[in-house]
Amino acid sequence: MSLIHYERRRNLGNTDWSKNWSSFAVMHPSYELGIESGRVGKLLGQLGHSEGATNAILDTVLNLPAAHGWWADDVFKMASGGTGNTEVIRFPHREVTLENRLYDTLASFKVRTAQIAMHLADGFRQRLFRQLDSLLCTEDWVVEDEPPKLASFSTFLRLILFLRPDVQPGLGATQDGHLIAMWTTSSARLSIECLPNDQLRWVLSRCYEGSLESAAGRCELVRIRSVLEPYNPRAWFEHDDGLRTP
Amino acid sequence: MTTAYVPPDDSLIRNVPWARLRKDADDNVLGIDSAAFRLRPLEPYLSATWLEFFAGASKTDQMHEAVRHIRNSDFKPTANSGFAIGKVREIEAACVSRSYKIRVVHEETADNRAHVAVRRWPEDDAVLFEELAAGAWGDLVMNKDCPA
Repeated sequence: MSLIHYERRRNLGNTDWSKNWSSFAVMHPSYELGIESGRVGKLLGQLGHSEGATNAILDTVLNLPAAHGWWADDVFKMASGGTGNTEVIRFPHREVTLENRLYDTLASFKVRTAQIAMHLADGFRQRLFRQLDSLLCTEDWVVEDEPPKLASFSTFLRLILFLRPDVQPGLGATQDGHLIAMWTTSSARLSIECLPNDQLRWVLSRCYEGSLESAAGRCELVRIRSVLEPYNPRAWFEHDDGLRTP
Repeated sequence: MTTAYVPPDDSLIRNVPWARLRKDADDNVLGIDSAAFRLRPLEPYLSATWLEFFAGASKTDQMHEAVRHIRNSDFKPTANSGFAIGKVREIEAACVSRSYKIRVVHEETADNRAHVAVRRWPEDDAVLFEELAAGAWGDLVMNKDCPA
């Protein structure tokens, strides 16, 4: 699975990239390599694609795996190998601080969300970004906790697209890097922990005639609707105007 | 040395990070998520603080004193974290209903004289942790609501 994200860099060497159209760089964290956007355009040209506007190039790079059956890794390998290509920039090594890790996590989540933005209502996306900003805030993060993994976030997004709930969930995180989607009513609670590869752990409780009932399980994402059916999931997912997916 | 068990009618207070608080989509805090009661890898027991260890005219006074004590320890609760409060008897009963016989032991540490080690705690039992979060250990006080 590829992992690719970008970040704005106000200064790199003597170049102030924020002043021209190539104000972003595409990064590959595993290789500590990055490709400045203009060079990405040339690279895409070599690969048979026309060089377009900045956003189009960015979209193209970020969507390469889906659009062309390539992983972004392949693009970087092609860029760094072969003819001794000098178009690949090696960025200065960044110190691995909690702040940097949370920043990278947040950036990768927002990029992944942008890739499926056409399937999400604007209100949902804006609220989700606010939730992520809050969840991954350095001041409130426990140092010992692992920041949520991109694979967990991808499962979360697919869960939302699969369930298409009216009610947007609250967000939490486990200590070992999994996002938790939470739905709560006055008498019932549902938490779905998003594991990599479309695996889910769920737990619920509700008051029924004065006593507390609870249940838990693990399932594939595509099974969640059926698994929750005996517990009246409409109480959690419906009757709110928070999210309306097209 | 004898083991000092915390009396069953006394209460435990445990910090809950922002990421394990139960929230709605607008980040309004609604309670505690069950993940707050999971052990970390290799963590031998669940840590908490004994509420009645502290003097106070009321339960609220004791709670505020306990929070001040925790803030002054090596562990620094973050501004938007909370504290889960539960009575020992009810926590033990919830555990027994899932066949766990826990031990709630007062084990003073260098930085927390009221530290409690909840021993024989299950590594992971989603149903138990949910029942605790929704009931026996589900009272929540936010850190920012406690006076300095």
